[in-house]
Amino acid sequence: MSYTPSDAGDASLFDPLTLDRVLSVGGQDLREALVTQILADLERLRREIGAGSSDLRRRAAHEVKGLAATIGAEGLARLAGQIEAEAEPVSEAGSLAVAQGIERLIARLTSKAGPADE
Amino acid sequence: MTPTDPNAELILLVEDTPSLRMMYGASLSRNGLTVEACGTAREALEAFQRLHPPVVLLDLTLPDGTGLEVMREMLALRPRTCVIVITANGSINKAVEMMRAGAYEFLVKPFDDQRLLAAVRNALAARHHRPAPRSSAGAADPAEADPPAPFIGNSPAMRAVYAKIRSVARSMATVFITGESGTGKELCAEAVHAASPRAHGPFIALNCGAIPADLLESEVFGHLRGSFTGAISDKPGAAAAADGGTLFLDEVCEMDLNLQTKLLRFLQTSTVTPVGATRPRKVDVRIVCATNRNPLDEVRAGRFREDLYYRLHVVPIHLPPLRERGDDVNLIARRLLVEMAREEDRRFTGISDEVAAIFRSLPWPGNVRQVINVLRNVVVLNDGDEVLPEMLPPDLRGAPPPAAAAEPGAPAGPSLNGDPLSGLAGLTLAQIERLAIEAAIARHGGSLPRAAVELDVSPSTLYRKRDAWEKADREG
Repeated sequence: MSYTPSDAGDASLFDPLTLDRVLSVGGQDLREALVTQILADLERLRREIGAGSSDLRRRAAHEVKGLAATIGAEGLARLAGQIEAEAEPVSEAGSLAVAQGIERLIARLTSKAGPADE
Repeated sequence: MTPTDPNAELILLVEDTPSLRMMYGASLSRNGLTVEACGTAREALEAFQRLHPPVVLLDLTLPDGTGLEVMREMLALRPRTCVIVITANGSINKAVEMMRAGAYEFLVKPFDDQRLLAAVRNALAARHHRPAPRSSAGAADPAEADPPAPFIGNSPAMRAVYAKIRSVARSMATVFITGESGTGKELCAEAVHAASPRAHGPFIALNCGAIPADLLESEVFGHLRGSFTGAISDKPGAAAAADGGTLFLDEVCEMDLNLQTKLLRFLQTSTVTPVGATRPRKVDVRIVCATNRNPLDEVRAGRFREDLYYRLHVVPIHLPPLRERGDDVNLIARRLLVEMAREEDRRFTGISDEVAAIFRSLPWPGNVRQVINVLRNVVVLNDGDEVLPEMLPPDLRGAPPPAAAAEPGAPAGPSLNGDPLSGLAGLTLAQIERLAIEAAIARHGGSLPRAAVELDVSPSTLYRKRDAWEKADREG
């Protein structure tokens, strides 16, 4: 089942410079710890948005929105924001789209190559 | 987190996303601040009671409660705490609700570490200027009963305004002032600035309605030499000039949509890019704005951006018209009369009971500015101990204008509605011009644009002259 966000634009939109700026807040040790924590948070949110009640999915979408925007994943942030704003119940298709967006972002962050083409 | 410097200022950080907690905490720590971080409402309240932090960074959404509930508990315990709310984009309405409930400022994700640091440092500085909390008996500080300078009046409607000015002054919240023309919107903005921790910084006022639309962007954001015809030198712009202080945007609804977009970006990023420049510059400015229109009508009509409206309309202050302020009109009249009499070398010390009754009954569509015009007219054209009804302009006392021809030998009448030359002997050309313009404005209920039509000049001419008179009057 595909989900077409009405106004989320390209959900894969990502600015690596924003992430780099965020990760430059401290030395190498902090950078590695931050990357590890960001990945852990994304993995947790991917699970939460795919399961549980509508309320839990909405809360997870809210958290994805804030984290994604902060690390430069603007498209994913917009998509998550749209899901968060949906009327009850939060759609499974929308939640799945966010989960897929998180998976792509995790893949991008763990890849040693540059930003992946979508 | 373990404090490394016992003298460093302590910030309590409440953010439920662990990686964001780590980012914000690291950003503040590397700038010399001590951070205690937690992720739930329960942890936050426990840490708050234990540590008494002066500043709290508080996420709006927590897993076990709302930011609003947590903030209310914190402020009930320690009212002088500065709470900076963190919210994600799209939750501006909730952030505004938090501001009205006592938050110091709000930050919208995503924000960079410079923005975060500026907000925290402002809050720490504001803490040192916060007034002492009220006593437990709830008795009001007598000083708080006095109107903030230069306001005059103690009607219930204005006491509510004074309380709001004092309450909002200590925060960074954007203030949106509404009210009819002549109600004192710029005075209100000055009072907010004067009562704020930024009082020692600049107060820059810009009337968006008095500046041609094609020059307004340059006036607000500055320009570089050569960026357009007539730009013969670099100009910093009002936003940069207000760095460290307050920028007052009067008649903000006069801005065109293109400039509104740039203003919104300025509010979101705290950066200005002068016309012709490529590099933005960070500025630290508190925004106060005003309009005599209904801003929501402008939004509905598509003339004002809704997102900008919500960004600006954080703390509204509505100035009541003079007709709703009871006897304030006479308090104002008596105070101003004495000052004008001194300037014009007249004997006036007060107004008669009949004049006071007339003043209380009038609608004053031009509000305080109309009172000033009337008093100026009276003082210039008359003399005595008291202002009497016959000294007032005829349209105020309900009498028809005097007949054009006066009896020979009769003293010159004080009216500008009869023979325009009578009663003007001894006045300078500038004074006569001012009387004529002010009389036209009063005839049109305080509306400068309508008076400009009658006088066959541009509204900007009348605005400039009025601004110059007000400045001269203030400087005495």
